[in-house]
Amino acid sequence: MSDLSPLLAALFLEPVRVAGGMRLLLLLPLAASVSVVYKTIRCDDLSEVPLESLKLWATIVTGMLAVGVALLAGFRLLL
Amino acid sequence: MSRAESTAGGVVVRTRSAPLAGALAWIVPGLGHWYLGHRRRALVFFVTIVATFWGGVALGGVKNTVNIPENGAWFAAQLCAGTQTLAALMWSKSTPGLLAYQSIYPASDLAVVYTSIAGLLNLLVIVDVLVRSEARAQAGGAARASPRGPAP
Repeated sequence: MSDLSPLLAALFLEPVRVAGGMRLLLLLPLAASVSVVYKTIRCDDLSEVPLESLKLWATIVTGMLAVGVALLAGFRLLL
Repeated sequence: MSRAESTAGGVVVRTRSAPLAGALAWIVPGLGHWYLGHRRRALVFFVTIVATFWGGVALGGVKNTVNIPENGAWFAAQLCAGTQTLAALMWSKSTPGLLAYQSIYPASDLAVVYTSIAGLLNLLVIVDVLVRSEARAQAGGAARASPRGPAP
């Protein structure tokens, strides 16, 4: 445990420096988590979960990108 | 641990306690489904929710992420992730003064969102486990009422 403590401290105590564009990439694993949990609840057959989760993940990411682009376009038009 | 068993028509239907299943699902994500017998589903929930929660903590640091004075409303969502939130809170409170609270934008905000979404996903899992245990109870009732056993 004494060998593990510095590793845990480095992992969970020090915040990660996230650069500007990189924070957008953090949407991908979060969308994956939401997709997997939602589809695991919804699908009766667990073998369908990977494909269904992938479809939902793509839908979420595409939708969020579309919303982001629309908001950026609106922002540029107004200001 | 079964609450009731029905052997009508030779079919054994074990019903499980819905409140206990819900409580187990809160204590450890996926444990409620494990209790109901959905072992593979339980493992998926456990791995996904725990990875999302601790991934968020790793992103922002435990002191920035699980912090009631700074993120009070978000903490309510984080608390749905179960006892791991309490463990993170205790760790956050016991962290020495050298690592006092310092919000580092945007990592700290992203971390709070990650952990809160993990909590809300676990809330969804708790609702699902309650629905599934009620469905089992109804299937058990149908088995007792019908000599042929529960409806398929």
